[in-house]
Amino acid sequence: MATSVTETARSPIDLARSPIDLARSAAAFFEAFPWEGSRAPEALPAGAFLEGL
Amino acid sequence: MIWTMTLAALDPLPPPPLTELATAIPPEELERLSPQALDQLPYGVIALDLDGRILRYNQAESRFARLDRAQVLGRTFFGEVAPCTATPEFQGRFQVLAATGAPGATVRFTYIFDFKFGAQLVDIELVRGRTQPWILVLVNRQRFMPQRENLPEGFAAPLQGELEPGAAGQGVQRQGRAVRVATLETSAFGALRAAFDASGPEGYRAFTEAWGFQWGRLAVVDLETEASEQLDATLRELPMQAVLERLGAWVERQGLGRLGGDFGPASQGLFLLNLERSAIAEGTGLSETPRCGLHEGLYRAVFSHLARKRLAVREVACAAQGHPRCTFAVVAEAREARLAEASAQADGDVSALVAAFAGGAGRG
Repeated sequence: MATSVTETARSPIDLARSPIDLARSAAAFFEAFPWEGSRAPEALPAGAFLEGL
Repeated sequence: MIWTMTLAALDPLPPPPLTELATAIPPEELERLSPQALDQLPYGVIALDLDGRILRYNQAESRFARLDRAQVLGRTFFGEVAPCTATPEFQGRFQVLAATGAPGATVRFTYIFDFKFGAQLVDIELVRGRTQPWILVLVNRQRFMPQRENLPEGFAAPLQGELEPGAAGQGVQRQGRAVRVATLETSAFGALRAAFDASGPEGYRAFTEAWGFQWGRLAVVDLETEASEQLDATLRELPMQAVLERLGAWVERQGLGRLGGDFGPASQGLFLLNLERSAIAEGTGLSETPRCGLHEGLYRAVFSHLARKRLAVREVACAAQGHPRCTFAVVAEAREARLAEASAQADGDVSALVAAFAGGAGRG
């Protein structure tokens, strides 16, 4: 499913900002958007995806 | 002039404590950085002489304030460029630091920058120079808000157009956020190739890749600035597809072509970028070798920034070679050699490249 950028930006991820706690950020993302359970690469947070390359 | 009303009279400020500036670079090292290096920082850095005249103004500050650095250098910060700071809370602290501050002395406070396009809640750090007779103003944006109402006339910072009336008649073109642009015909890329063909063809890729990498580090500041302002998020937090769309929009604004992603091979530790109608490939003309080194460097800079580690980007098929589009493969730097090997085997066949990469050393 396509991800709404605006909706995502309002997710609990914001709580983890500055400095970014990526692990918490990614966990918050999937908690907030369980429909991302398929974890398609393009739906992953960019930081997590690229770190994993 | 110093505005006598206090900011509290306009709008309550959030209470301290301040967050630390998002920098790992101590102020004394900032002083030693070149203006070009300051441009690669994701937060605002302004250097003012002790009278408040602007000596340095980095790219992040330029983007957030939507003011062209070339037009603000030499102007008075409190009088001409940021009259919203001509208050006891800001200019007053600056003047005390200028008059009595020891080298390295620092003052931190929260402030609101008022622009005609919106207000910005910022953390400010004023640092009295150790080696230079200046004060560094470090600006960390915390929140973007609508323009505040009922500001006194002349309080909000001027727009770029107000700083340089008549610029259009002087051959100046600007994009939406007052960024100055130059329009190049694609024949300029053909001329670049011809210059290398005449002087040393083997240097073309290294030069264009390095040029793209340096440009990409500046593009990162643009992209992070936009994401921060529009979404209150950093790029790393956004879904990969959203980042790719933002990067694609940036590339398209430059007129360089249309960028898309292919994450099919991601499980192999590889993803692909497809560039349709590359202006560089079309401008340089038919070639035996890939020509879009500038894109390689650009994407290497952006994605390495996001990954917080070094990635490698290689153009594995180029429209200049007769392929329908340009394709770039992105991998961890540790597997760059493996990618080069697979690319040589595949000879521009992207499916074969992915198969060869997967069948080789694989991940790790």
